[in-house]
Amino acid sequence: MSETLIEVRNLEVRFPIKTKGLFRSKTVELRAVHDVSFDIKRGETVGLVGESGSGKTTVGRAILRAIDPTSGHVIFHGPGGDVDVAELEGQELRAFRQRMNMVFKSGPVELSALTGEALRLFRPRMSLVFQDPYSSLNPRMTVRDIIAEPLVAGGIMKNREEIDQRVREIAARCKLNLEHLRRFPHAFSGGQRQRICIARALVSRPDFVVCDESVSALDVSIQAEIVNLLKDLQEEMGVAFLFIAHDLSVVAHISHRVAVLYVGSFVEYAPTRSLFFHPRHPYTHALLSAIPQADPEAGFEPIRLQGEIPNPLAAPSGCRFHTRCPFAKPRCKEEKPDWREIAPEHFVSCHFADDFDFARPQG
Amino acid sequence: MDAILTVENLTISFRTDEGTITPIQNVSFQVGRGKTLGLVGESGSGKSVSTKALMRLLPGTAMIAPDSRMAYRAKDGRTIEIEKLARNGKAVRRLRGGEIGMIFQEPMASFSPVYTIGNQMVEAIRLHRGLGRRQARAEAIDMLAKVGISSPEARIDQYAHEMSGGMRQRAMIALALSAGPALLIADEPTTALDVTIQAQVLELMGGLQQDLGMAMIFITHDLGVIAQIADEVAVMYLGTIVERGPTKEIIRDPKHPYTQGLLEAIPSLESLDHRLKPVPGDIPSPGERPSGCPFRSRCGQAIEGLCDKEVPLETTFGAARAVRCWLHEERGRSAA
Amino acid sequence: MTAIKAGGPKSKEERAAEKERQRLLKYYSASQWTLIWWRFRRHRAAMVAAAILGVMALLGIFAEFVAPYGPTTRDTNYLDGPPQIPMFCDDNGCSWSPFIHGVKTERDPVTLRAISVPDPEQRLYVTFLPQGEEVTVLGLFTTKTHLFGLEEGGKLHLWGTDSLGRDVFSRTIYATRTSLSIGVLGVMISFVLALMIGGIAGYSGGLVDAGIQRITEIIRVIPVIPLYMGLAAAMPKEWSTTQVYFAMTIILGLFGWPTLARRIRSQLLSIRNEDYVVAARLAGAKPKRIIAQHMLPSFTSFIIVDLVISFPYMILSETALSFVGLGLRPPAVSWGVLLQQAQSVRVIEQTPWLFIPAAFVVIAVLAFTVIGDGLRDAADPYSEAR
Repeated sequence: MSETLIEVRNLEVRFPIKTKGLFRSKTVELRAVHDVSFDIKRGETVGLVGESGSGKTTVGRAILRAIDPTSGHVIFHGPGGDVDVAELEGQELRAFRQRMNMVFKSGPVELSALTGEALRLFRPRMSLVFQDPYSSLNPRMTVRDIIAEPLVAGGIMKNREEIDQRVREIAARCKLNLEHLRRFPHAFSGGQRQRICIARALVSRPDFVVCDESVSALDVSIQAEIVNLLKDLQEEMGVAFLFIAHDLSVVAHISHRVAVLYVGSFVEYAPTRSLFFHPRHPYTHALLSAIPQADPEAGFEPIRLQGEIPNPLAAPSGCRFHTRCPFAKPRCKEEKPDWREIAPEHFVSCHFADDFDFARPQG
Repeated sequence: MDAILTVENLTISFRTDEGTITPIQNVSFQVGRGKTLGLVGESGSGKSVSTKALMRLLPGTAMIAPDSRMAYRAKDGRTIEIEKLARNGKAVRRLRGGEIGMIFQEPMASFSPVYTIGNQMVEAIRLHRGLGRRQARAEAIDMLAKVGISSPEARIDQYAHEMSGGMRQRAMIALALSAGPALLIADEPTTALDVTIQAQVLELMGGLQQDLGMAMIFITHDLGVIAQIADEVAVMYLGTIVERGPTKEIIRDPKHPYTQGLLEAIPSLESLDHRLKPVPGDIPSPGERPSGCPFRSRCGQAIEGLCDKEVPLETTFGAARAVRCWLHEERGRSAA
Repeated sequence: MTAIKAGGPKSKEERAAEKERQRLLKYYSASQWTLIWWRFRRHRAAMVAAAILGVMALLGIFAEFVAPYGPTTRDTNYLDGPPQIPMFCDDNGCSWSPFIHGVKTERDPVTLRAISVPDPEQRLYVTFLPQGEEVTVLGLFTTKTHLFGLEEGGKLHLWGTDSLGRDVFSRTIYATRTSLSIGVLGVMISFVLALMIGGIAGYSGGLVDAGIQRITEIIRVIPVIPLYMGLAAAMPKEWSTTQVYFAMTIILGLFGWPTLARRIRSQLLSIRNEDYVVAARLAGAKPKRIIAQHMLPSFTSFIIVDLVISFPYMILSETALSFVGLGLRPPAVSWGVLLQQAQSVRVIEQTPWLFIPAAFVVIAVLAFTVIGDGLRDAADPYSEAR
């Protein structure tokens, strides 16, 4: 649990935005992710919360190299050495994705099935579970083929029976009816589809899976079911999750540690309990106060933040939150706060964090 | 109760690739004047379909059963029998917007990309309230200010796509309110929003409702949201209302096993160490609706020989509460 | 849910429920093509149109067998003869088998030209599978048997003859083959071109895409008729009908691709960022696999719709070119060639049956359009599923 799996250092993602004028076009850079650093340990869940447009999805995809980071490092600690994901290219990148899918934790059967080269390489692996369980499943493939795709496409397994066995195993773990494997996605409800997505993400037995708003579109009961499933799978398979969501109470339930993102930067990163019950950043505090409680007498008094989330094209100077912060002082406008460890494992980016402890009643 | 809307025995079926399905069965509810009714249920429970029927917005393949009644008390005191109106007739058009307004989860759906929000609001005000162009514009600016849009004089000439998500949601509420409806149907209006903006929108809607004395049907799957905004709740499962009553009482003391399950499934910050408790099992697909009580396939307390055979009757508790469950019927209690 | 329980009395509801479950199971395990077929089947007009086209295609494929005579066989005894409709009754009573009247030659009392008129005294009975000219069907079998004809070597001209005594019915059947096959080949050529050009543009994007787009636009703005005229005029006169035929298909194919290519490109561009394609990329799939396994299948149905809809344009182009004398030339027969012969006022006045091929053109074009409509509705079986 204490072994570091992924180290993210000074991650920066910028997108060129072309604005078309009548005669000339200008290219503006959108800083989607700005100087983000954090660690993910083997087998833990890190929650990533923030409002829409804060860059949550971009962080997740940059770690998976679905988007190329502009600068910074993503270091993957595999059993056979470290790899800087941000520096891989072309063939190598694909080989890395494949290697990440390699099998090495299971019993001797799979080990003997590995080729010489595969054994030599270290085998970190990762995958992604999408938000929309409808568009992320190819409607033209059977569930069995969808789940088997990472094995087939990654070239991990060739033998049909082996693949079938593995698909059945993971499908059973994800509580899918084995009879359903022959069906097409249109036969399933949202919750069932999301379980198929999870089975696909885990079939190659990865070390690390990004869940990008994977439960946000689901009903509360199904949400609870998927959260429990992910927790169980984590326990059984030792996989680490980066759990991106805007629903804070779900994040609180699944995560060991939680990071709060505001306009592309981290404002706070702490173990779940400290973050939810002793937030040190005014923004985290405001977010937490806005969670609706299913108790009409819980006293729902959300802190009203002034104005709108700033446009990332024109992010404010100094502390990015100063335009909306109820405690903003002149210093916040001029000086960018440091990313510092205010308590053990509790990181925050605020000049006055020492003065704040928005302690909340703990149940 | 002074009801603005009374729905009785609403049953709707559709013909689809999967055969004839009946997403709404015998739904009855009332909305009191100036009150908010929350409709809660998982996707596929028929929340949206039933309100679309109120606006006569269902596609042509939908069939409304002959004994369904939807009686709406109009602003002038007449009672309109919605189910008898001709589809797309003049009466239906007057009903939409002017009497019953609607807002959606996706605000872009309400706005035309080629008109400014001002254009659309002015048109709605002139159509339903018969004001002149200048007066209507003043009214629209007023309405934008009411929903908390800063510098409404400038914003009124913007297009919806020029606004941010929260702003757009407010503009949509302003558009729906500008026609002066007496009943507003809000179909998951905050589901796609971030918590901070959701909190603002909920606060705004609650305040506006008080000011305008408007009734509201608020559809959502989030009981947390319902607890903040609704006076009464109707919990739907597979097209049937399984429990209804005042919000506080239902959340404090849910009687139907499904309502209990839904409430227990909510992740709460108070119990971080406990496992979440989903309602067991999957919602049956529309073609595989269980016999008897629709919920019995997922119910831990189902009574064999009763719940799988007979559809439970509605048991009332006091004036306002009702539940459809054999556990609360004399026969069920004796069988258990 | 799998097997039907053996034996035992079952109530009506149980049986109905079981049937419903089986039906749903079938629906859930149905592939894209099965779903498309189920939906297409519900489109009555399209089904009828498909049947009509199927019959037309069969007529064309088995032209040698269906047509009683060759396309250039002359019956000098029956020039400009009107259609001979088989009948069961005449002034001399009725018969069980259909017959036509014989033909005798008389002089027109006014113009003094020799004309063919029916001879009510003579009855010629229609028979099926009679012996006639020796023909090779499908280039495989040699046979003397035809679908129908007259007994005792009489000649049956169902839809009359032209001024050279050639049988209009037989010529129309042969023309159907020529015209439909030009359509098919032309569409195939332009489809292959469109797939390559649109595929490259759509998958690579960026500069390559921009370049290909400009070229496509240039080709789209070239006016078609003068271009065809120029190209047709460039065809050497001494070319055989076969050579001209292939040249025609290639010309039609070469200029038919831009619309389709754009369509393929835009489909590819929109599918490229679909979640499931991203998922395949993250699973380590190679580009080839992504295109073949995930992208192509999701828009083949749309491509088929486009292909079906572009058929009529091919057929009409061929017909139009041949009609103005720029396409196929006699002795080849196509709908255009046949209609070219029916241009004059004299034809309209005296031998209107030469217009029968026009009905084929209209029916074929309409049928393709209706099928295209039906397919378009059925092509995306997942649009409503969400």
